Amino acid sequence: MRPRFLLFALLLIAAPALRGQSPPSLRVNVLRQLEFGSLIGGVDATMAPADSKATALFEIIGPAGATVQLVFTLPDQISGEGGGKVALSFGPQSAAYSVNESSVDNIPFDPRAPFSLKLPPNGRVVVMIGGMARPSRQLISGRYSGNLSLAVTTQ
Amino acid sequence: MKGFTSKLALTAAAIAVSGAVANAQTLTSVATVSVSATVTASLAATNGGNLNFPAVIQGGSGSTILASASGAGKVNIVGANNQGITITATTLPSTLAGPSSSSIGISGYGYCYSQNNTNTACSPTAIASGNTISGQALSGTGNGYLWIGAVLAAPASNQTVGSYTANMTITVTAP
Repeated sequence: MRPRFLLFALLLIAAPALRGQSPPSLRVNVLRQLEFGSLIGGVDATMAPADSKATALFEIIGPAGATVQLVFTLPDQISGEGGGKVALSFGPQSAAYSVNESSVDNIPFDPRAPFSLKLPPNGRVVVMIGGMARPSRQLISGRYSGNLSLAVTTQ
Repeated sequence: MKGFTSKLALTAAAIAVSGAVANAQTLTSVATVSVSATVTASLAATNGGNLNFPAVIQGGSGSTILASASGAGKVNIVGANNQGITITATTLPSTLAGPSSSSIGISGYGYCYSQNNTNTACSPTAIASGNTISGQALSGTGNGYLWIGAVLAAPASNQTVGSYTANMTITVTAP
């Protein structure tokens, strides 16, 4: 009986410690899709990451103080039902991040290359991305869509 | 008892090693958003050539230029490939204005429409100011051509000598 009691007591002592050692997690949540809105064939449209309510928003939540690397998979076009394509491009300031989810403190970066940042003490950063859409004059009216991904990895 | 203590020690060590691996591992997370836009096709109509009648003589005959003739007025239309269009003869003047408030009549408008840049094989269709031409489409490369002809009335014997002009307005829309 005594060994069993001893084991039970040790498990009780160990339980809180085990809970405290839960493995760190990293999440990327989508807060908003990237919507260029209404475009006219032949007229380019540029959306800066912070000057519109239609840029894509990601929320990164991870270990406080951790350095994370951001890698975007950027589409070079979006497609319409009729087979037409709207060309997309991204520049050195098409993306930005903010620790306060504010348009005031956002820091621009180039989404075309891997980018590293340090998570703040609360472990949360908001990343926004815009870009340029180039609908050709020959496009048929309609809805065009595609996907854009963000991979975040701790370093 | 000694054997049990060894098992317990082994268990504790295993937990500790597990925790260390968790702290050192690389974490990755991926999220995807949709990228969308709504496109409205562009459509433009431009002057491809004015309808110029040859000189007429006081008291002489009028002049006719068919829409299938080389001197017909022309509108070039560009837009999306195979785009359906509606053409409206917004304004086809009934007179041309000349010097000293003089005028001369114009009527008998006809048109030719083609996706190709040629009107020679066309049989003109009559059209009046305000009429619409529906059911047409641009070519596979997004082009269309409209020709307009008309009949210039015979000038009066006392018709003021000079140049007479007016504007035609053609509107092209995507239905």
